[in-house]
Amino acid sequence: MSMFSIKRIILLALLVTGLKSLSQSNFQTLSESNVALNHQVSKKYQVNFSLKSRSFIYHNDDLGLKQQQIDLVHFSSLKLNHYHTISLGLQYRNRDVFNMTGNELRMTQQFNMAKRQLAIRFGHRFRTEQRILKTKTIFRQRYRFAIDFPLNGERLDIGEAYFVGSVETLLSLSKIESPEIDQRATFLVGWQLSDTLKLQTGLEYRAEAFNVSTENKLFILTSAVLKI
Amino acid sequence: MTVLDMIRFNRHIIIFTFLSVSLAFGQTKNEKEERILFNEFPEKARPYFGSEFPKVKSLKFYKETDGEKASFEAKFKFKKRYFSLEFDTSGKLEDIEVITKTKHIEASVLNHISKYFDEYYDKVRFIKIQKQYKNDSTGNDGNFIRRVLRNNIKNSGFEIIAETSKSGSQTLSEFTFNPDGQFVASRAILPSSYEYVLY
Repeated sequence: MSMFSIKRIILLALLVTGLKSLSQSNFQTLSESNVALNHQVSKKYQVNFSLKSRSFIYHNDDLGLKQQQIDLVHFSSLKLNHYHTISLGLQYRNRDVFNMTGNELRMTQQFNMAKRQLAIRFGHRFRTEQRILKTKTIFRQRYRFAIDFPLNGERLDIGEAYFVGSVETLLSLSKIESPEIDQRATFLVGWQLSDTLKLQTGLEYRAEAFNVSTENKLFILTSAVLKI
Repeated sequence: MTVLDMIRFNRHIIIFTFLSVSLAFGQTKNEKEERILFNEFPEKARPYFGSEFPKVKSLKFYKETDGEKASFEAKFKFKKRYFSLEFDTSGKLEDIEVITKTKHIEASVLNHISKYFDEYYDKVRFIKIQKQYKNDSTGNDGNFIRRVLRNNIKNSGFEIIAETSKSGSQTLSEFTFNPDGQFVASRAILPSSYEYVLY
């Protein structure tokens, strides 16, 4: 794949997600920033801690920055072999401090496969989640397919950029609500600034509960990933 | 905290410091691999990709710098196989590597390779296998390329990236075997060189 076609794909993807979202009335734009710390405890065991903050940018026909929530996330990952990893996650979400409802405690179990074919890496991720909220517990199953590759050459060197694209389908089940299916598509560009730091930015389009009544959301994502 | 605990704690600090220092050193290494244009490729090597060159898929040119040493690579797909031709800065062909699968390795050779892994490891998973063709001929590089493309020449060895496990511990290594499948050398490689995005 040449550089030019990659740029064209990214541009097209951004355009399509942007236009599709704008044409909907039940549409929100949000921003999510994330700071993640990764630490390799041993050859097989890695821990991740991250802090996420989410704000509304466009919500209820209102434009303006309004913080919605903050998340504290921990993931413990065990490498099974070169391709496979299993992880357990624990996440706490607070909305109370921003006068929003929906504090949450979330447990995640994850199985991940990633395989590289020359420059491109293909990843399959399966997750089961238990989202414990005050009024209900949601059992969510997720599957994500992702590809990523360096934007120059076949190897990612320091100072170089990379692209990540993914699609994810989510099924949420709870006792009091009918099942909901979500679809997400994400496009990110990242920079490996040093051995230990990378920055990523991009867009995520979500069609939430599209089997019931679709809510369209566009996320502007930024993240810093630090290896310690 | 007992004295023993303190010793253990100190050991962790030492390991951590050691790791941070090696990380810092890793950063200073000036390794870079980049895509280049055909006219940036060594002039002497350019004619090989001219009109006489067979029809190949996704022909790309790369420059690799490792500290002061530079080399050039041409990569392409030909008859479902991935080729990588390495040249020095003067345009002299150094070697050709072809990504291959176990089923494309001669049974007796594969048998020797398997025997080696069976003998020294509990389990092996091949990540990448390459047939190597070292260009030690003094003749024309173009002829050498054509012979390799036509599969008309015996390879000079194999380079295998494999994950091996022994007594429950896994290691990613690069192994070299001679053309008959006899072990030549191995070295451990960092799995991190393969991972760059958080999954």
